[in-house]
Amino acid sequence: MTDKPNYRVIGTRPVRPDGIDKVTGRAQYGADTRLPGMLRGYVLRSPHAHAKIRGIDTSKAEALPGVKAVMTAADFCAPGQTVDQLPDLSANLMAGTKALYRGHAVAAVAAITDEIARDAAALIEVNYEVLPPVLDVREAMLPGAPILHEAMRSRTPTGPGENPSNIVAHTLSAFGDADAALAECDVVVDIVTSTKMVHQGYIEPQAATATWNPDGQVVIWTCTQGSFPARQNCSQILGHPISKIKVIPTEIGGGFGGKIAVYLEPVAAVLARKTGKPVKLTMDRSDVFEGTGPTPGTSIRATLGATKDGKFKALKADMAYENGAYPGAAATYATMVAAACYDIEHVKIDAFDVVVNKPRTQDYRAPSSPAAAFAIEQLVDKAAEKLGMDPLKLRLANSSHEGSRGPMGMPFSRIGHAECVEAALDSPHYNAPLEGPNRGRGVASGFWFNVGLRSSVNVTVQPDGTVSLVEGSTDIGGTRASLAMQLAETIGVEYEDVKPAVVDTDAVGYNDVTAGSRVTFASGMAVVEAGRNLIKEMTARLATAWNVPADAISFSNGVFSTADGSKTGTFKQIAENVVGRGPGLTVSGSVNAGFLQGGGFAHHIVDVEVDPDTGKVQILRYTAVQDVGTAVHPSYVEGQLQGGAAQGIGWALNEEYYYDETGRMVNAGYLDYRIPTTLDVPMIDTILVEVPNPLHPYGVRGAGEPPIVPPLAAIANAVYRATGQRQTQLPMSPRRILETTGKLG
Amino acid sequence: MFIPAMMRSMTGGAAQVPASGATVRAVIEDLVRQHPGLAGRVVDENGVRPELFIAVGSEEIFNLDQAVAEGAEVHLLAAIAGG
Amino acid sequence: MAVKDYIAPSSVDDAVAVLSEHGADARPFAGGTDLIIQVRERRRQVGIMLDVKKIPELMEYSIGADGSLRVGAAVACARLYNDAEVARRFPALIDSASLIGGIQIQSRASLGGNLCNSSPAGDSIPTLIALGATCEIAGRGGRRTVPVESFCTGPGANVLQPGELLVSLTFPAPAANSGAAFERFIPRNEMDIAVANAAANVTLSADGATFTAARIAIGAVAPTALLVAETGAALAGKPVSADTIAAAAAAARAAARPITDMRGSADQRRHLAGVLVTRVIEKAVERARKA
Ligand SMILES: Cc1cc2nc3c(=O)[nH]c(=O)nc-3n(C[C@H](O)[C@H](O)[C@H](O)COP(=O)(O)OP(=O)(O)OC[C@H]3O[C@@H](n4cnc5c(N)ncnc54)[C@H](O)[C@@H]3O)c2cc1C
Repeated sequence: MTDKPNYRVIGTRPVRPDGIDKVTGRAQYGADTRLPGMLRGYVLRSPHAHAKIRGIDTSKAEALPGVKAVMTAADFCAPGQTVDQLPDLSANLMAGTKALYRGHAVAAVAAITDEIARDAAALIEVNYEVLPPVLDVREAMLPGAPILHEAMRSRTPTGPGENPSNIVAHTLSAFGDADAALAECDVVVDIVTSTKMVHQGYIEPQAATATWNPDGQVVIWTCTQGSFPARQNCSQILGHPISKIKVIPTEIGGGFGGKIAVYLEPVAAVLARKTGKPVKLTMDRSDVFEGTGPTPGTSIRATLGATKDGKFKALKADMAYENGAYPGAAATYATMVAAACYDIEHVKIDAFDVVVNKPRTQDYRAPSSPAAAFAIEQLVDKAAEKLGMDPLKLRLANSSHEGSRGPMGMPFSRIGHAECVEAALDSPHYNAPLEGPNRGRGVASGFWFNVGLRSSVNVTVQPDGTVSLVEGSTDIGGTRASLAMQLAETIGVEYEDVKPAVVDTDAVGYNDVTAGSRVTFASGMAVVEAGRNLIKEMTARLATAWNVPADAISFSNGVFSTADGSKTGTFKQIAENVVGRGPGLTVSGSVNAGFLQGGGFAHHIVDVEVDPDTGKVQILRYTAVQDVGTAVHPSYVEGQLQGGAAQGIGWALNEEYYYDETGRMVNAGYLDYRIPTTLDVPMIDTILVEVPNPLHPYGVRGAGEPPIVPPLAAIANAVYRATGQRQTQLPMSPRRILETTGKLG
Repeated sequence: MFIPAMMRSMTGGAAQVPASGATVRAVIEDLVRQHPGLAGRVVDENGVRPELFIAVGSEEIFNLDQAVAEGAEVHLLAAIAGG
Repeated sequence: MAVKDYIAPSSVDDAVAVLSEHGADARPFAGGTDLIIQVRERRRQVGIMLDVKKIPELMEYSIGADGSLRVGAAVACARLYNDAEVARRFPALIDSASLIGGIQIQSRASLGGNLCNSSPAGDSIPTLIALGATCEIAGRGGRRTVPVESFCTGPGANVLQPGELLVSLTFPAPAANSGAAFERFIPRNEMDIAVANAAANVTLSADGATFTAARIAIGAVAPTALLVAETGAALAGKPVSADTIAAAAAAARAAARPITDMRGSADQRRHLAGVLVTRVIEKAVERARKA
C-alpha cells in the first residue's frame, strides 16, 4: 500500500451535520411536505399482470364529493398524441393501452383527503381484457410466449430480429476464443444459477408533492436520488420546459438506485395543474414493491477453464436478465462486470435482456453485478476445490491489476483487487479456525465501476470567517459530511466551520444523480476545485490589502503568508478581516468527472452455520474488505460496507418477489418480503484497503456499490462447505436448503 | 478501436477494428467511413453521444481533438452509472 | 367506509350490549396489533372500534389458591412475562408471550387477541392448547366456557357468536413433575409469522424416566392449531427416550395437513412439525425434571 499523505481532516470521524435533525425527527422527508390547501392524491394500479385496457370510466370517481381531479395516461399526451404513442418513460408511469405488470398505474385521483381519494379510486371502472402473463425470464425467451410489446424486435449481433419477441437484445461480448481455449483447459467447472427479482428495500417509500402556478411555474418536492435528472424526466413527460420546473429535494430515506426514476412526481404535477392546488402523493409499501423498480431476476449458465497450475484461461457464459415490463440493459451491464476481478484471456458472454410481466427494473447498488458474481465466484470456488488450492490464493494468482484488460477490453488503471485479497488472507477472520459441525467458510470477490459524472458546488465566505457549501447532490450516505471535510482539508479550516446544504435545482449548477458511488468522488472534486478557486480569489484580495503582488503570497496548512513571512493570517482571519470588508465572495466548482473512476473492488469472508433440521442459515461472522482509495470519513465508509453486506445477506438468504401464477406478488410487504433484521446480521467487520485513486486529488474511490457484489456467492460458498451441497438458486431460504439437502424425502 | 458489444451489429460483429487518424475525432471519422452504420451513433454535432464515452488506453478523454499516438487503443464504451 | 366511532365501555355487560346492538359492524379490540392493521389495509370493514382495555375484568390476571392462572383476555403479553411468579410456573406461556412481535408489540398485544384473531399460525395458540386452557365467553345469554382446542374453527374463524366477547383464559395448575415448552420456526430470527410452531406439556413419573401424560399441539400446519391426540398417546406410558420422542414426532407429521404458500411448502411444514415437536418435547422434559 502506498503511503497516505498526512491529512488534517480527511480520515477523521466528525459528527454529520444532518445528524441531530434526523435523530430528533425534525428532518423533512418526502412525505413531510405540507402546503396550505394541499390535496391528497392516490394512484389506482392494475390488479392484472398483463391486460389490454379497453377503456377507463372515471365519471363515478369524479362525481364523488371531495374529489377534485382524476387523471389517466391521456393526460400525459401532447396535443394530437394518443396513448399508444406514449414513450416507455411515460407509459410506465401510467398505462395507456396495456397494463404490463400488476401494480402498473392506470389512473390517479386528487381529493381533499386521502380516504376520499382511495374511495374514489375504487369507483374508477377500468375495462380490462386479461392476457396470460409471462413471469420467468427463460420462458419469456421461448417462441410462443405471451408477447409484451408487439412492435418490439430483438437487437442481435447480426441485426434486428424478424418477429415480435420478448428478447430486447442479445449482446455478445467476446475476447479471444473461449471455446477453443476451454477445450484445452486441464480443469473445467460449470454452473447453472438462477436468482429472483429483489427490491432495494429502502425504508422511506416514494413521496412527491407538486404545485403548478397559472403562469406555468412548477415546483416539485420529492425524495429523489437526483433532483436535476428528476427535473429532466418531468420535463420530458410533462412536455414542459426545464426552466419552468424547480425540483426541491427533501431528505431521502435510502434509494440504492431505486429513487433515480420518477414515479409520482409527474402525476402530482398533472393533478396540481388540473386542480390549481398543491397535490401530495405517497406510496405505501405494497406500491413500492409493485410499482417501482426492483432489480432483475436472472438465469445464468457459466463455464470456467483453468490450467492445472491454476491459471484461468477461459470463461464462457450465457446470462439472461429480466428487464421487467419495458426494455432495459441489465444483461448488457452484466457483460461489462462479470469477469472484472480476473485477468482471463478468452471470454465469451452471450447476454439476453428480456421483458417479462413484472415491474420495470431499475438499478440497485452495483446493478447486474451481484447475480453475475453469484455464478462466477462459485465457479472460482469450484475450481479451487478441483485444483486443491486455497480459494484466496487462486484469486490472487488470477487477479486483475493495473494494465490488465478489463471486461470491456480496456486496460485497468491503478486498482486494488489483489490488495483486497491479500488483506483478506492476512485478516484475523481468515486466520481463525472455524470449528464445529454444520459450519462453513466462504469467500468471494466483487467489482463495480464507480463513475464520476457531473457535479457543481458553490462556496460562500461568511462574515465570521466560516464558509457555506451549497451542493446539489442529494445526501444519502453522509455526503454533506464527506464533502464538507474535503473542503475543510482544501482551504485549511476546521470541519465545523464548513456549513453544507443541499439545495434545489434553481440554486446551484448541474448535478447528476447520487448513484454510481460518485458523490464523495466527483462532487468532492468539485469541492476541491471550488476550494482552490476560493484561495485564489482570497489571495488576489489579500494582495491588494497587503499591497504585495499576488504571487508573493503563498497558502499552506490554512495560513496565507508573504514569502518573507512578514505578513501572515489564517484562513479565518483573512476571511473575517479582509474578505469581510469587501464585496461578498462566492465561488463555484464544477466538474465532469466522466465515467471512469478506476474501479472498486471488494472481497468478503463469511462463516455460516446451517441447521440441518430446519435448513436455516445463521451468519456467524462476516468480514468485508474493500479498496476505498482514501476513506474520507472512515465510519461512513465502514457503514457503506456494512450496509452493502447486510443487503447482500438478505438477498442471499430470504428476499424474493414471490409470484402466484397470475403474476401477483403475494409478499408485497416487509412481513413476507424478508429483509434481514438486526438479529440476522452479526457485527460486520470491515477492512479498509486504501489504494489511492490517481483520478482524485485525495485519492478517493466510490465505496457504495462494490460491497453488495460478493455476499451472494460468499454465502453460497460457505453453505457448500457447511453442507456439501452447492446452492445455485436464490434465495437460500430454509425451504430451499431442506429441499436441496434431501431432508424432505 | 474497441467497439462496445451493443454496437457490434454495426461492425459485422467485430469487437476490434483498425482505424487511423491523428486525433480522436479523426479516428472516429475513419471508423464511421468504414462502418457507415455508426454514423451519428458515436458522435453527433454536439460531441460524444451521451450513452457512450471514449477512452484512449485506460484514460477517459473529454476532448475529441486530443492527439492519438500510433498504435494506441481507442475504446468506445457504454455509459453506465449504477445505483 | 372509514371507522365511524370508538367506544370504550367499562364493563363486560356494556361491551356485550354494544356488540349485540351493532352486530358485525362493531368489533372488539385489545392491543389492536392485528385489528388496526387489518382495518388500515382495508382487509376488514369496521364501523365501531370497541376498546376492551377499560374493562377491569379483561385487564387483570391472578394465580388462584389452587395454582391455576386466570388471565383477562386483554392483558398485554409483556405484563405476563415481567411477572416472575407467572414466568416460574408457566414457562411455556412465556415462550409464546415473549416472541409475539417485539417489545412494542408485546406491550400491547394480548393472548385474547391472538386467540380471537384465530390465525392458524398464532404463536400463543398451541401453548394455550397444550396447557389445557379454558376460554370464558360472555354473551347476551350469560357466560359459557369452551376448551381452547375447540375455540378456533378455521383461518380467522372461531366459535364466538354475534354479540359475544372473550373474557378470560384459565390455565389449570401444572401437574407435579410436569414441564411445558413452545417453539416456532421462522426464516429470520425475529419479526415473522411461524412457518410451523408447536407446544408440548408433558408429565413424567416421579423418577423422570417415563412419560405419564402429554398434550402436544402444532400450529401453522392445518387450518387451525391442532391438539394432536396421537402424539400424546405415543408418549403416555413410554420411557423418555429418543425412540419414544421420534414416534411422537412421526405422529405429529402424520397429523399435519399443511398447505404450500409463500411462507413454506407443505412438505417443509410437515417436516418442521416433526422437528419442532421433537424439540419442544425435549425442552419440556428438561423443565419437568428441573421442576
Ligand atoms: C409487528 C407485529 C409483529 C407481530 N408478531 C407476531 C408474532 O410473532 N406472533 C403472533 O402470533 N402474532 C404476531 N403479531 C400479531 C398480533 O400482535 C398478535 O396476534 C396479538 O396477540 C394480537 O393481540 P391484540 O391484543 O393486539 O389483538 P387485537 O388486534 O386487539 O385483536 C385481534 C382480533 O381479536 C379480536 N378480539 C380481541 N379481543 C377480543 C375479545 N376480548 N373478545 C373477542 N374478540 C376479541 C379482535 O376483534 C380482532 O379480530 C404481530 C403483529 C405485529 C403488528
